[in-house]
Amino acid sequence: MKKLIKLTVNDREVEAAVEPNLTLTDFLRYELNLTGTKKGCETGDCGACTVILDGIPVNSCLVLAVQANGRKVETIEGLATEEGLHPVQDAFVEHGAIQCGFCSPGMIMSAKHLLDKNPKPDEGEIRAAIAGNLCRCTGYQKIIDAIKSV
Amino acid sequence: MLLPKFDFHEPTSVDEACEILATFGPKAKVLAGGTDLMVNLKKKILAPENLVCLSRIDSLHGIVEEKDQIVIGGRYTVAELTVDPLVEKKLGALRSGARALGSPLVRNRATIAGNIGSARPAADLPPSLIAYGATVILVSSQGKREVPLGDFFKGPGFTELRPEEVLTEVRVPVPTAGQAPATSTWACARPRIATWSMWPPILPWTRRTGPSKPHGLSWGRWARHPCGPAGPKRHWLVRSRTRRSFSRPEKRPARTASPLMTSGAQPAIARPWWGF
Ligand SMILES: Cc1cc2nc3c(=O)[nH]c(=O)nc-3n(C[C@H](O)[C@H](O)[C@H](O)COP(=O)(O)OP(=O)(O)OC[C@H]3O[C@@H](n4cnc5c(N)ncnc54)[C@H](O)[C@@H]3O)c2cc1C
Ligand code: FES
Ligand code: FES
Repeated sequence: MKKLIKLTVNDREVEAAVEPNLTLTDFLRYELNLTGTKKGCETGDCGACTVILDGIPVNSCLVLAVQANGRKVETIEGLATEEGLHPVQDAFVEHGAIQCGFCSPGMIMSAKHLLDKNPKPDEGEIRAAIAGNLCRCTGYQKIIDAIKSV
Repeated sequence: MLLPKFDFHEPTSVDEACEILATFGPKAKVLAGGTDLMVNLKKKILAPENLVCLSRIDSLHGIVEEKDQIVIGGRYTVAELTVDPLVEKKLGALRSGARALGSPLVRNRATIAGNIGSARPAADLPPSLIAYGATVILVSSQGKREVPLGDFFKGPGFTELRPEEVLTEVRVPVPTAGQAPATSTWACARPRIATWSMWPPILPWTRRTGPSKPHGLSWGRWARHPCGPAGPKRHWLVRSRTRRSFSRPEKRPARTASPLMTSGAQPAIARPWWGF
């Protein structure tokens, strides 16, 4: 039986009736068309689906949409403003920290959360913060350089 | 990967959760952080008809020191254990286990009760908790019972936990002066099965018995070495008299315990690859 949920996604109030077995990733992608959040492994390993739930980065593939009821979700689409890209996004572009781009939304969400808490992280802190986000293309160094430069 | 169909329940108290679990029995499963259960649902290993989510039960979330015990709520997350000042000060080995668990994203959701409840042989928190002598509180509508964690595991995926019970608290005795818990993670490979590897964490609990020396204290007259994936049935616990004394117990336990571990583990494990 569908359940009614009400949540805030990127500062916008959203209300929807969802099946209990719908994941938060699928809810964002298929119900709200927020396809920036990627589906990689779907089992918590790759971090492509990272979103910030009530201020904490999580694998949205392991969260049910019904569990987000009453909570606040931030996705990659919420970062840019009318003035332009978020500084972390700009840094990724400038440093070439993107190749295929599949990991980038998740990686950027983890990086943004780190920088919100700790504006001047050292390399160890950066590596630890993105340890749950796998990238198959860049070799990580450019991603680390990008995050350092913000 | 599709999830099977289920009904979703979100109780706001332990009593309410117990009532729901009593109604559905084995057709229901408790959902905490979901980092283990959701994967099992997706892989079709489990297909409960009801999920009972604990995330709105505030009383299960927290940590307090009560006399000589630290009481950790079932919903306390692994990420919280890694930064909690009480854990850092008094339960360093538990903190090490928590820091080794998964990725930051997993730790942000994973709970202590879920790590125990999953009964994965490789789970990172139980070895240190067993060494501390922790107990778990299991609550159902029939009442409450306290089970030593050392007796809780029955085999991979199997525990003392009945389908109608909620693990509400983990009670950890605070180490007393002279007890030096430490945790160590090994990677061992078995030469004949090249791809087989395991990470048995061990935690010796040593009591200082000899006279103090400036740097090399005489440690390790007896030790408890619970370890993770070193046996099919449960976390393996050895009480051993160790002959060797070592000056930095946090650095040296693996070496001392190695012969015991490798001979007692089932199936027998080969010597760690770097070979002590
Ligand atoms: C990518 C990835 C990496 C991982 N790496 C590690 C690792 O390195 N080390 C490790 O130990 N684990 C690891 N795990 C497994 C998992 O994250 C942990 O076991 C975690 O602690 C499970 O907690 P949870 O709250 O998510 O449990 P859930 O998935 O919600 O539940 C797990 C089990 O416990 C039961 N349960 C949960 N809470 C209660 C309760 N209060 N009362 C009764 N039953 C309960 C559930 O019914 C279920 O059977 C990993 C998982 C993923 C996805
Ligand atoms: S898709 Fe969620 S972690 Fe890989
Ligand atoms: S840029 Fe391709 S996976 Fe990271």
